[in-house]
Amino acid sequence: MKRIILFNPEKCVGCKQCALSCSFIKEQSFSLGKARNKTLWVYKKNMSVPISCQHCEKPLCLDVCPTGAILRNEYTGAIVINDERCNGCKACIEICPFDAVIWDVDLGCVIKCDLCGGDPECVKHCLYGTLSWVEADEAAISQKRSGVDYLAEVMTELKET
Amino acid sequence: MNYFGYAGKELYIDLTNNSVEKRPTNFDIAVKFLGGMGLQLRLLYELLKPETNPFSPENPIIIGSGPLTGTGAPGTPRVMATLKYPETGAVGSGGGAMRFGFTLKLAGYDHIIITGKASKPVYIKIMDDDVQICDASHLWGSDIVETTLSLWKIHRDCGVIAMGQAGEHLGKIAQTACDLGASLGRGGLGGVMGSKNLKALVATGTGSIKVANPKRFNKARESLFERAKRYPYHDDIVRYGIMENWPNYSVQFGYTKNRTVVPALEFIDKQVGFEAYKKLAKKALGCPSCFIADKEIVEIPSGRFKGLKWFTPSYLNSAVLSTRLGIRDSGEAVKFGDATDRYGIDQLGFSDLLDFIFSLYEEGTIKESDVGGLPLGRGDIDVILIWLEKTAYREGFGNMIADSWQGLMKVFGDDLIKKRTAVIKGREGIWDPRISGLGTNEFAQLTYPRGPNAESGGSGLYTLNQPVEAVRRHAERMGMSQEVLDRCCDSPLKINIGRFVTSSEHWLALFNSLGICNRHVNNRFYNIDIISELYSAATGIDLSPQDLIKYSERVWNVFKMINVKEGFSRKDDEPPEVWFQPIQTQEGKELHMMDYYKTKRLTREDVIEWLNDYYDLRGWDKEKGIPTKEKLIELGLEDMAQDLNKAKFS
Repeated sequence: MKRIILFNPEKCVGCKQCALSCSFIKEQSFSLGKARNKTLWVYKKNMSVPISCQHCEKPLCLDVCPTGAILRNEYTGAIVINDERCNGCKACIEICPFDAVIWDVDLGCVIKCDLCGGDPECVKHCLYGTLSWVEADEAAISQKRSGVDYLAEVMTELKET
Repeated sequence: MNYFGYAGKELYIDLTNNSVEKRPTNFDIAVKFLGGMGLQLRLLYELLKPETNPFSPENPIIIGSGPLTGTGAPGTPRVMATLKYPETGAVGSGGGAMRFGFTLKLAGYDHIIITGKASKPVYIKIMDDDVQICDASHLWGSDIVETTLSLWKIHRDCGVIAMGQAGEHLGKIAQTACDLGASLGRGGLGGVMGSKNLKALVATGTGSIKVANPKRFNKARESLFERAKRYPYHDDIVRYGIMENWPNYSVQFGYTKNRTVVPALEFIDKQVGFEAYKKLAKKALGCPSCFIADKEIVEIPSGRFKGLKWFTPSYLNSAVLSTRLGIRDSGEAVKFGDATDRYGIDQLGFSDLLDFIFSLYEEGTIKESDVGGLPLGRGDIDVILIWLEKTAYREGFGNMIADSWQGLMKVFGDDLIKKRTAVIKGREGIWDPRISGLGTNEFAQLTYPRGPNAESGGSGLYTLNQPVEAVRRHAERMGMSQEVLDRCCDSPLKINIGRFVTSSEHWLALFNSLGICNRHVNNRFYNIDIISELYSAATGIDLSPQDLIKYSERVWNVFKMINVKEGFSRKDDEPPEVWFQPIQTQEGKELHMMDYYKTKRLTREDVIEWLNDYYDLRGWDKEKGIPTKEKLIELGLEDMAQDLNKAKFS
């Protein structure tokens, strides 16, 4: 069965080890600007909120991409970028409700979480239970959806202020 | 030049001229003094002239992190503030954490050096290459929480250091907060910022920290994560924060009535201690990179202060200090902590001063008219809140409290303070050796160059009653050489504390220079070998464990010499007289200062002998209590050896 990352935002303490680990595995340096995830301090809620690609069941980024550079990896279920096809239009960055797609100014294309090919680094370095790597059964997917609702609410609020 | 570990740039900000200058970090000097505390003290040694008034524009403030900050090494968020501190007139590096040091590093700066004085209230804003001195007149007069929230609202996800009204009024016990969750600069950083019209600093950074050998670095990093994952108390520490160590700390810090009484703790536990704490609502928070977070936001669920939320490093400080001042309600303890943090007052120092005043009143030495009519009632939260406000604004007798023990000496005379308090170098230390024995934390208060501090390197004696085998293991973890360890264990009391403290100090200097959090819960996972691996892999400069200890010794000698220049010497390391008087338990039992293993009641001669052993192991002049020329030259501090020749130091 495929696996998904479950987010439990209430447990996030804001340590950023998810982002530090992501940038390290991908860039071999600690470049939070290029991490495919982030934690945002939402001062109004007194919470740190972990933000990352949700590998949506109906991915808006995939639909909006004009060159077919965004596709789903059959093995992991992750939404991934084919950088050779990316033309840099950034429509995917605009449309993502989670700000999960990032422009890499050095590569000249977009980058995003690809679940590390099925062994996500972020989860391995979260010691607080915020991120867990679980089988995508019904219960997990239902829990994921409510987590996503919360994330969407936070992102909308952040964009409004 | 490519920098590894280090960010590579320094920011020079002159508030008088409103100028911002960026310079490349001198890599050789950075490595020689490691970074953080070491590098900042080295730079300040050149920039600060002796006998400078701490509130003058000529007192520079250096703020920055270390070479491991911003890397994924767990627990490396530390930021140091190095300056001459007004409470003691001594020079040193206060330590904080949360986001500012981390974001400053990712913005590309190892540290910022602030000089001069702005003509009106300002805050410094650092966003990668964009550095500005911004108008802060709309923030002046606001407390630390309001200031920080305002800055978060404008600048979003950033690191903030802010001071409150106490700093604006040049309080000598005014401190700052980093993102509300960490205090920074006990001893008057807030006041020094106030003297510069500098309300706050803000930083965001989108840059990167490169490591020279990613594979080697990651191996060391992963080994730390593995240890933490196996640690059985990890979840308890996140759940309870520093309160997890309440059984120890409540005993060690539980004294009251001007350190003459140790109260019975059982009922305290229910009213204001661990049992009461568990009833507060709580959200756990951590610093960037932390893997065993212990900071928190607590909320009062009921009573007079229902709904009050307090963002704090830990409820523990206020629990203990509330006990000292007679408060018996956890809601009031939270209110006390929150009010203190908003004004930006050092709660430890304030509580010591107020406890002293209350004690003089209770024994009939003073009346309320002697303190300008301010109310004197231990156990009354409203009385404490009045004193906090008066201290913040320097009103009435609050003006004397704002000057700390210097102020009280003016009122009551030096003699009374000397006889009746545990003041060392102008401030009281938190550890009382009559309760916990003269361990490293307690003894280190004598020799800490900027006045007693809660930190002492997290040595093997950090908790009570460690068997000698455990102490030896911790000593090896701390990088103590076999030769030094043998000398430390060569004592009829099992451990020669004076000698042991030299290694605690080096361990502390190492953590504060590299940016590693030295709190016990983080410190315990680190050892000298892992630090050597992390540093070498990050920077590309191979420093062995022995090298690191040597470099730390160098840092400690710079720390001492910058204070020798200010006139500090052996006379300032003397143990306070009260240590040799008993403290009473509530049951009427007398506790005398004993050694760590509680086998012998210690005399002044015992402590002086250990002080001599300390200087001896350090290779310092025993009579003066300062480094010798030979030691400084051995450590590559030739210019400081030259300075020793000047008449002032002899």
